[in-house]
Amino acid sequence: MSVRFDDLEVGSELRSSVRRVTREDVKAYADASGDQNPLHQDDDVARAAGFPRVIAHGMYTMGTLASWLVDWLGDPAALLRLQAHFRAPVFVDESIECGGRVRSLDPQTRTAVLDVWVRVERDGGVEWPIRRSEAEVQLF
Amino acid sequence: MSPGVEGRTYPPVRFRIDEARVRAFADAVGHRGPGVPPTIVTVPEIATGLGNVVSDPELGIDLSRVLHGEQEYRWSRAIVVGETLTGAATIDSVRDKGGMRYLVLRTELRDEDGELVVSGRCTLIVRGDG
Repeated sequence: MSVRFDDLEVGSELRSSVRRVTREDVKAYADASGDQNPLHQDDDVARAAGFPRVIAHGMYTMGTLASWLVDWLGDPAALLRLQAHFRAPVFVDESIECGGRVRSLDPQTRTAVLDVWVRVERDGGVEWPIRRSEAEVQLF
Repeated sequence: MSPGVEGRTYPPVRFRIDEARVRAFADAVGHRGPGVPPTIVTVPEIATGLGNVVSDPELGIDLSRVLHGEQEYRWSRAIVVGETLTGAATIDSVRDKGGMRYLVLRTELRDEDGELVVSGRCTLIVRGDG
């Protein structure tokens, strides 16, 4: 394991990670997941829905968040629960940043509840494709 | 929409966690390993859930109006390459609010021994015509 229960404190922030969202990766996600909604592949369809270009699947973004958590945990089995609210779209060619903070620790079960999020810088501001979301993780 | 769709269960799917699928999914979500990316369970969840919802004549949902509002997974254990997961999506609730329709789907995926591996809760938002 790359992180230990005793190393964590309530409020401590996890090291964030940035991923570039490419059109190729979003297409790869469509093929791998079976979600072929054209909103994620066809700019014309995306524009008709009011977006400037195709958007990533919510589950592409949540899957990326899960990969970042598993990287931090060192073991997929340590991810017990992940809950995400999708609050804003992610456009292809943007960079998303996964982040989190320890909300609570349970020494009896050696589990932690984390606040987790995905943010993106857009037009000089910050958008939150995933916010007010949480993960429960098992540590040793 | 006719009442009575709450509690409706769609046909179950069987999904084999094979190596090639795991590799493709891992690349797509940036999973560097070890093991299987936990959210690969989205694949069978979509197959029994969203895939059936949008072709359900009683719901009459246009896929291009569907947004994913919320998703939760609870895993009992890690997913293992070579196993087969089986499960069916159930419509938990349907609510209309602010011109939007909120559909909550629940899917439990079990292994060949019938043990629960993951339960998923998916909230779909269907935008109205306005």
